[in-house]
Amino acid sequence: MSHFQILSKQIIAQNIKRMDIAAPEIAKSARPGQFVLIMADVWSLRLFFPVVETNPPKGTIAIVFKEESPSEKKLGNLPIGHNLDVVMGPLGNPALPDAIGTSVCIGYELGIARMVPVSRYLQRLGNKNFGILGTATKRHLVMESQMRLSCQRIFVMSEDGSVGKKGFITDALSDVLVHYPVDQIFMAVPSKIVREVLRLVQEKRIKVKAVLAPFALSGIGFCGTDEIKVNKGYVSLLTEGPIFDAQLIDFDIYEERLARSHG
Amino acid sequence: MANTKRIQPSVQPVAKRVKNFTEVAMGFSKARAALECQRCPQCSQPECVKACPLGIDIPGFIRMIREGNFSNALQKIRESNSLAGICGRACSAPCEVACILNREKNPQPMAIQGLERAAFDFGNIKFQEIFNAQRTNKTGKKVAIIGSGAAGLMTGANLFEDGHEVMIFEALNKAGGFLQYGIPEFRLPKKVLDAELEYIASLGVQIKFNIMVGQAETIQQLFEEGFDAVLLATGLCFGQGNELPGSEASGVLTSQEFLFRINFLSAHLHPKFAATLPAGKTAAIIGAGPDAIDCARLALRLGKKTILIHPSTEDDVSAAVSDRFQAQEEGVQMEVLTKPLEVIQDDQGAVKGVRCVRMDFADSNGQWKLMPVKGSEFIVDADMVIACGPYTANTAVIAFTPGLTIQKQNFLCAKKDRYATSFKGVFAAGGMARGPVSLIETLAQGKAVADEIDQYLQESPKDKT
Repeated sequence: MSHFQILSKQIIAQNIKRMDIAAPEIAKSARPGQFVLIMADVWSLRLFFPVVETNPPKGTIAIVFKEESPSEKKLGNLPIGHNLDVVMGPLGNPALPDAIGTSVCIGYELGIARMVPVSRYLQRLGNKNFGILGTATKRHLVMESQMRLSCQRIFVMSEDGSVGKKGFITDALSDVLVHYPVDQIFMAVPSKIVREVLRLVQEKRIKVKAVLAPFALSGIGFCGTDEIKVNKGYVSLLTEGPIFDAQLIDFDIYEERLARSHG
Repeated sequence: MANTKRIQPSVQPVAKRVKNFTEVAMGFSKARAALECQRCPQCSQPECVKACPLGIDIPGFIRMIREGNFSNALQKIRESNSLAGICGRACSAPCEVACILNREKNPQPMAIQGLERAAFDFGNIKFQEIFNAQRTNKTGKKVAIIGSGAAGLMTGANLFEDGHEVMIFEALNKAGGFLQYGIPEFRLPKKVLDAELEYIASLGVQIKFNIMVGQAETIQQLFEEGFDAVLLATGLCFGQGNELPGSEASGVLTSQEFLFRINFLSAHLHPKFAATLPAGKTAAIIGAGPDAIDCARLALRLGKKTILIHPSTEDDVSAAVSDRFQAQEEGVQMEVLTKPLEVIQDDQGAVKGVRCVRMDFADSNGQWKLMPVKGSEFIVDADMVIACGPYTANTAVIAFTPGLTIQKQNFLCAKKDRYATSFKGVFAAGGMARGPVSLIETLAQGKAVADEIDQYLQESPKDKT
């Protein structure tokens, strides 16, 4: 097994792939919520992917990504056995709680993959953990079984009713909030859903954390492209993220910068 | 002595160079370099040497070029400057300003920078390797350098010459730092940088790529692995907090982002390369440092109308005179004595222009100060804004190193001419130490910090526990 070798590649949903890569040092030190920087080749962008799973004894990490941009498609097309030149990490400084209570992990489509390590971490702490997985349709749902293993109960919501219950994430969350005393919510969902969730918990004393999709241009913190507005000030997603209080994030700026990082 | 006319190194014609990204200055031929050397008065107390932060023996290497011995000239420069090829192209040349031939009625300073470049271009690198192979004084001490930019490379080369083992950690997949992603190809060709990196590697300095020290490996871990000292030379990052109102608009870039997209990710060659550039016909560049001039000249080569906005006078533009002159020649419009007030956005949140005010000197409490001129506000139409600064020390390592504290003005070193940080055994150089400095000053800092680290290592106990 050579350094940064692609060991396996799997299509896990429509346009979404899982890739296992040999990276012993990263596998050893990555913490939940951290991410890695990968370049498919010298012509590609520097891409950032959350470390979804690690296997320190085997020295492997797993990433899950959607093949949207040309650079992501190139990465997805690399064959098993290919050695990647650039895999840098682990990056990020995720602020995860150490308190025990009742938590809800919410993921939407690809965001579910970002929630897997967080959900496992919360389970290890002894939290009572619920999972809410949202998707437009069954073809976009990922890592349901992994979430099922790390949560006491999961709710799968699809907009077209092709999997789980027909409905939205907020429908399931309303149910959970009625029946359980929730202490904290972690979510990796589009900003539109974040706003709806925040509206739902407005009156309650619940901590809501957003697990953001990491992005930057260089990934080494000098160009300011990883800066987002949190609590009216700019912070670096690379050195302080990717988990922030959802109420404090300026999602308009986040979305604009995330979109710019795709090209 | 008669002030004979300076022989200028050749440059690409303006009409041709604005359409390509290749090197503007074409340098001297061997014969013209030797001819230019004949003008040097060989002063007994040379002002050029005093003005050079590295103290290069300028009359010495000029004498060697005059004799036609370019390899010896290169060797002479390398005694003080390990990055001769880079300085020969990208230095702001304070030596030429100080040259005594620059003082007369018709100033014709020696073309020292061009001659340094000639020494590099025509000097024999192989000769260097033989010379370096003779160095065997090993101390057994190990130094980790974080960042392979100008400061890191210079310090690495000097520490190696002092007999220490040096390992440079680079977060990118190519070495050079700002030399790699910041200075455009038309000022510093990548093949020159590659040759210099090859030279540094031939000394024995090792570079480890794709390691983000601080996050993947902490400073504390480096000490545990057996490094005796650590140098932080990760440069500057775009400092938030002083940004213009409206700068969250789409179409506003930092200079670092713009330069990185073109110089490192080759966005100008899209779609062959995946990176793209924001669309726009007119670019307003806010700033006047070398990075601002580089951004302006790059934007011009991308076919954009380019306006440089600077609140002070033209003389306060900190870029080298030759670069400023070439930028104006190429068509960069300079709005000096103009202070940007706000980035104006359209309904979609995209840049529409920059609201500015004219500045002029006025008597403020008995002192002439630059003050806004009342009623002089106007709008610079632009659909792209490149903000050059303010800068702070790159916090990517600092954030993960308890015990390493920011000193005054967001930088790491508090004491003048000292490079030790608040963390024992950790030093800082380049932009991180005390803020933005020119390339030649960065190299001088690299040399000075190498001396300080060498002294620290000599004073520290030989056997570690």
